[in-house]
Amino acid sequence: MAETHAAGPLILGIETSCDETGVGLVRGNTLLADAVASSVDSHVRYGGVVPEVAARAHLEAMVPTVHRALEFAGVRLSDVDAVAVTAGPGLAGALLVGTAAAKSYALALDRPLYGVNHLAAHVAVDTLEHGDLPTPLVALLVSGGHTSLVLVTDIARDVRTLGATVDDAAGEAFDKVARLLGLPYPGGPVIDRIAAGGDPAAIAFPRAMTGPRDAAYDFSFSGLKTAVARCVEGAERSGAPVAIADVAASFQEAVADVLTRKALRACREHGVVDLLIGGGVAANSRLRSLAAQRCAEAGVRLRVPRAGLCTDNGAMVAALGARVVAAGVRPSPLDFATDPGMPVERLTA
Amino acid sequence: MLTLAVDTATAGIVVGVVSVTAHPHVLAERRTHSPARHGETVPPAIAAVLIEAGCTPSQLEAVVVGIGPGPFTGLRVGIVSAAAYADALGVPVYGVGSLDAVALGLPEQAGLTVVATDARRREVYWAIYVDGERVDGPNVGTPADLSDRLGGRAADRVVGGGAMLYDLPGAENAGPTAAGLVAATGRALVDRQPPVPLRAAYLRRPDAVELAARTPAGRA
Ligand SMILES: [Zn+2]
Repeated sequence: MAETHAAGPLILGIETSCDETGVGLVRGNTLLADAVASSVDSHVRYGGVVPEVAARAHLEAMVPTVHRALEFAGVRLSDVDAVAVTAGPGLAGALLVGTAAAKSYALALDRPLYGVNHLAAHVAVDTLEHGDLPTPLVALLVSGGHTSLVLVTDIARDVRTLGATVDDAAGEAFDKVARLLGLPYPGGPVIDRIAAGGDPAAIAFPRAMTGPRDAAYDFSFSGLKTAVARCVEGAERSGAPVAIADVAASFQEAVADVLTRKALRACREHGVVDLLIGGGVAANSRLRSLAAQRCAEAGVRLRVPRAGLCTDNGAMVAALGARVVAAGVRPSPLDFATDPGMPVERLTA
Repeated sequence: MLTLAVDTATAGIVVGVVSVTAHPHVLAERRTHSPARHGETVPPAIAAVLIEAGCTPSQLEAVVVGIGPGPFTGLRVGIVSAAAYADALGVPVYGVGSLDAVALGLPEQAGLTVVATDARRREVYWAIYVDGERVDGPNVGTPADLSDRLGGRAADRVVGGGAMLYDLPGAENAGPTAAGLVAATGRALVDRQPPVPLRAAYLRRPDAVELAARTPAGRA
């Protein structure tokens, strides 16, 4: 962190788009607090995020998490200059809890309110670790809820979708494959760990949507999941033990290969020399190492926020809020609606 | 003591400002029929009732909110709005039963009162009151369950959106009111007792099947 002193308005950021209740406090590019209450443990026994369970957890965690953030930063609510909150995309019921809270805080404190885009926030969060974003920038956003490739010209005003998954999100594929292998939810960390002891070239899993006629920047992971299922079934039928580590490593290799290949193609075709990877799957060690290797070969600078900032959190929302406020974007009205399918082009509500 | 009252447990959102004394007085109240748009409706309604009541947020000394039962998504909007608003002002927030806020907002309390709101899925959220005192509920069940529970007793009044929807005998429309919300706090608010932590009264578990309970349908 090169930051020496913090300047600019104090932004309170609230994030409730999925299963993390996140509250962040940010001034300029400086992270002052990042409190997260995760309901992931409540979802384990269901094998995935249950929207109603997540929404209930958000309600209970909301105010306590705000206070954990305030205490950590050593500030009071009255010090807050603006409130930012995820308006979408995300789970409808979950988004409603965070936006209702944010609206009340903004209203009671008489501060401007900004409903912001969750995907863009995954990009903006990197300012807290590596400073101002270079532009233009290609960002690969990969998590359990989204898989998008975006082109950032101005994080507060101009972000464009290049491509997205046509079926499962990358993180979802990790969860489903983990289940096929009898591994616990969430699948990302456990597959990463087990893959370390496997051969990534053991099984040639398909690289979907990489043919000459496929959309250059779109992704598909459902076929890969099916291929893993067939592989596991085949092994079981033949009575051989499933080589879990090899399957995990080969699956992970296929995901990392397609993601990085398309991201670098986007950089090349748009004349962009900066790539950012964000979202929970950015914590995957193979994705990181393959991206680093391919970026080096292509002369592209790679930015990946540390793992704690890649997963959903309130700091990313506050970080985008800080950019939006600095750019002079007008605040959102009190009656703005949440947008579960909010496109990344729509940066504020 | 100026108090903000909020309820989003029914399709009829209520937001009001009440001057709480021995005889509470409603200064401003908005009731909006806005199913599924609670998140967009509540914050501007709070701003509007404060203007109408001629007061600023900093003059509020307490917040009262209906904790349900009610359809979950809308219910949470009211609870979290009230909690955050009170938190920002540094004032206590009191949670009260939303069915109580219907019953205690009625002009007449004497005798037997049945409150039934719409719980969807052909069920109602219901509670039974005698002389303004809850004697049964809150509960969720079919209108037939509710009649069984009444066991032939004749109610003096049957109110609420659920009572209307299922055409219960003598059904009249009534919803939570700002006065009813304040009345439902009993002595807690006027005596400025420390509030108990807010918890939503869902009365139903989330719809989700645990992995252990799923039939092993193979891996495809
Ligand atoms: Zn995310």
